[in-house]
Amino acid sequence: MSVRLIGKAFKLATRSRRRFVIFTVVYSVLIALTTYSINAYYTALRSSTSLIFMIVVLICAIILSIFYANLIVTYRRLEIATLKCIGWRNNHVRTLIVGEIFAVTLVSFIIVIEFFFHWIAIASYIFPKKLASAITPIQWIPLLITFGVILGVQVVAILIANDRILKVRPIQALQMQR
Amino acid sequence: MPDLMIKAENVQKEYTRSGAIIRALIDINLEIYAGEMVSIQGPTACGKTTLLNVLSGLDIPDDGKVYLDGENISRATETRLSAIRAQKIGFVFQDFNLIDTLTAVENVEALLWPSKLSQKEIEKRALSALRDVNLLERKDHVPRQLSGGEKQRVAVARAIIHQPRVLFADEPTGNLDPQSGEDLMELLTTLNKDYKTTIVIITHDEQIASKYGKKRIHMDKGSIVSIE
Repeated sequence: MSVRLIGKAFKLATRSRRRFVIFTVVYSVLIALTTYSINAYYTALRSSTSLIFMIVVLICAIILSIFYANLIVTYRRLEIATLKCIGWRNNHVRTLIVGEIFAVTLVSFIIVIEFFFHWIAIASYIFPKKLASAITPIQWIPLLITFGVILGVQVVAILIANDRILKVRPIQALQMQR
Repeated sequence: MPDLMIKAENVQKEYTRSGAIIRALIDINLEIYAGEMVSIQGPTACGKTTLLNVLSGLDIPDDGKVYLDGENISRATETRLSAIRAQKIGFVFQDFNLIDTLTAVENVEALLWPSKLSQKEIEKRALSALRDVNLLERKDHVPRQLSGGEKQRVAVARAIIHQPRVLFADEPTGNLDPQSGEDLMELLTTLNKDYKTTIVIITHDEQIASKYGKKRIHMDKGSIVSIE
């Protein structure tokens, strides 16, 4: 997998500004909620309510991930066809698309980590030590699990969506767009 | 005698549209030599674009053989065809097909991103290609900031960055005003002379074909009716 193509995928993702910002914000909220729900279930409450909450949030995360993956492939259909016409191979196109997904997920992940760091700092400053540690919302493991789940679902979704285009000959993909 | 660059032998191609079978190419035989500038002309829906797509490996014939630079591409795998396109062929499309979010120089570079060349070398080649099409001063503009003629010149720069053996252009002047169209054809003629690139152009413009096509292929109803 070409490192250069991953870099270009990041660039392409950020250039589609509106889509990038909207999905980064949505993903950040989703990652935070999913992490919180996993954390709540496994470390604290273990109640049926927290289990339902975790399942609902996970399903939302999966649905939104699939939706975003499809959206990227739909938006990039003409570009994918053009790149194939000029000599890109299917695995190059896949790298570009998966790189774009990875960019949004990684940036959202970093935003969530940043948010929780500040949350911890503020909580430690405002509340007594015992209370601060009690209301610290997340731990690393649930956060990493969430990142893995969201990224994994998206990559699978995008590969399925991508195959719709990669299977057809490039000139047919171009003609479909016209 | 120059090298034989493209050879088509008894090429047939059919489409099914709304249940009806359309014979897009009927028994096409032709030879194009290295360094030639060839125009393919004919009325709408006579099979020009289908022929270009088949000759360039973008589409496969139902029957017959197509050789490009000595290699039979009519039965090549998609991976092999991608490699051939990346190494030997340049494309210029009627509606430019530039990537909207990339600048002119990035659009030109894009063809070489998957290659093993260094980024520095890719940039150098992209700038050189933009210089060839007289568009260096617009290198940081995105397509929406460029005129139709400029977009098409970026597309030409992208098509020549890897110094292809053959350049295929499908109605390259179709979306341009007459002056921009004339400029573009002059540019293609210069590339043909300077780099000895074989150029195959589709046009329905008789004037362009007669002025710039050193070899003129006339098509009608899926067949070649004359080669001048």
